[in-house]
Amino acid sequence: MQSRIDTFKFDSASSIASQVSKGRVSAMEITEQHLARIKSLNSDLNAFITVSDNLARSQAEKIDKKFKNGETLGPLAGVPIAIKDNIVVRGVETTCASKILKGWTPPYNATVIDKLIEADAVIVGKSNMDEFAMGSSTEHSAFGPTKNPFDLDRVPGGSSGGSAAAVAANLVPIALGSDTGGSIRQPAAFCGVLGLKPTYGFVSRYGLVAFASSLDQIGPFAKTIEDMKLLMTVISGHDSNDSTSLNFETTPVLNPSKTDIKGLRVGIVKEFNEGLTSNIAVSLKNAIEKLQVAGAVIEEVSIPSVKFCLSAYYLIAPAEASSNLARFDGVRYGARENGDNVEQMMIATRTKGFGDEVKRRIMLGTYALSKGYYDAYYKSAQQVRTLVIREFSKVYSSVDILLSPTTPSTAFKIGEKLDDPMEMYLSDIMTIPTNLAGHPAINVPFGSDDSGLPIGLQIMAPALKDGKLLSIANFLLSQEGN
Amino acid sequence: MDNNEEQIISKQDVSYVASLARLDLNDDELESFTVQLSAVLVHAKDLSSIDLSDLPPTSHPLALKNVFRLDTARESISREEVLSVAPQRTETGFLVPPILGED
Repeated sequence: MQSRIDTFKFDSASSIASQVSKGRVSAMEITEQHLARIKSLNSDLNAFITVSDNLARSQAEKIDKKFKNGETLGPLAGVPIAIKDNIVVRGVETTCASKILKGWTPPYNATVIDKLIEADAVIVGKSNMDEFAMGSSTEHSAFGPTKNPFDLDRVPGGSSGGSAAAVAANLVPIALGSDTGGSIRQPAAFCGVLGLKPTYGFVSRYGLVAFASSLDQIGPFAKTIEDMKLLMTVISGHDSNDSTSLNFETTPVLNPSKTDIKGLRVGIVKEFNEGLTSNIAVSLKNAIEKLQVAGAVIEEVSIPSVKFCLSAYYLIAPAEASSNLARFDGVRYGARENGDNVEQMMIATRTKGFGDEVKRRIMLGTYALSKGYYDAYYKSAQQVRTLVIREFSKVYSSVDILLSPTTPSTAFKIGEKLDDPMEMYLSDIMTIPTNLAGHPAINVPFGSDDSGLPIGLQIMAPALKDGKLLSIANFLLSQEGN
Repeated sequence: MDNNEEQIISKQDVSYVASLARLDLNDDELESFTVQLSAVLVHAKDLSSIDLSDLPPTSHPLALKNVFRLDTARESISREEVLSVAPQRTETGFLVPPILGED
């Protein structure tokens, strides 16, 4: 098993920002150092589709100039960050890992990008992903699969596999991904890093290329809770450009005082305990014991509807995708194939531009929305969504958080599930329910399996309890390996 | 494929859905997509095992209301910037092949 872990020393975002702000190191030195790391490992990992070295150097230059002029630097001063390639960065090619967008340079920034630049972060590149975020392995990328840094023969998870791998291999301390059914948490679990899916609406989706709009959410990858808080504080908040962005009267607290585990009510979802590999079951048991020792009250809870979430998700998400991806028709941006008339041009462009997984989902969604099938599929799935929300809300009246594994297994081999989409979809079985409910959830690395592959645990909480998730994740991290 | 398994979706259905989605499938693709889409739809049949009759559908996790802004002009991306990344353009618009099939 060939690994690319520990090739480079880990430098946290908070320590880089602090050093750059005090002038102990220049943003340019940090940038060059990380660009060199990316250069030396990206051919093995394929974590980046585009390395934005020009943009990174010009940002670093500006930051160093600001410092020389005596200006106070932002909270992410000089911190290199990777951006999933479905979040638009002005002037940097954004492909969504699809041939249909190859060569497209967006004329605007996503809101999160404006906020990162404002905070003096340095965008070093666009990370690899499953095409249009549809997948659980990053194998469905038009630019080839990303490799798991723990074992180059294995997948990093997906769809935000490039971001997870880049953070795991210390190419960058922090990264952004997007999570529609587990696309941040599942790769975070496979690559042994922290990954948060925030409460729906907590982070603006403006400039995130839409997959399933009622489920999509941008979120952070990091290795320390401090870095998670730092990045979440920068990217979250109301945005008038996103009509689904939450407008808080009081901003949710991301940095609560030290959470007392004593008295914390932790629910273990019975339905998620079936079919776990023994290594993962042991990790979960260890975490439960640590929480118990610290005074948490553990309770087994049942959410029967989680069994139906996979089916509901694979109707709702494709239905929304079939509508969202109608815009890729070769007229306004991206690739175009020739055709005798406009419709032939559109058919040729879409047929050649989209990969198989994207085609599968577009067709599934089109079918679920079509006359005669709408009630049986799409409407039923939406009703299940109501059931899921109600059952979660009932459970949260008796427990504060829920704890489960993030995935039923550790990272699988490249190619292992490619021919069986249904088998691939099953790797999201524990992450999907929180997307349907709109709740936050985080992956925390906790132990490893017999082959040394990371195991991830998932903590779930009610809407807007993102800060609480970070605190409890911090406790678990401090207990890992003890 | 198990012949006893119920054929939920036919090749004709898949071909029709592909045409609605403006996708062109060759015979091999039609074959494999039919099997794969059937597998997902067979899985989705579990939804019919629960009583959903009293449940309203949820289209969105937030109780969304329309969000309006004042109808005042504001700055946006310039036309030139938008057109500069188009596959084909004229001076002021997107250029496409004939819509009615004639020049």
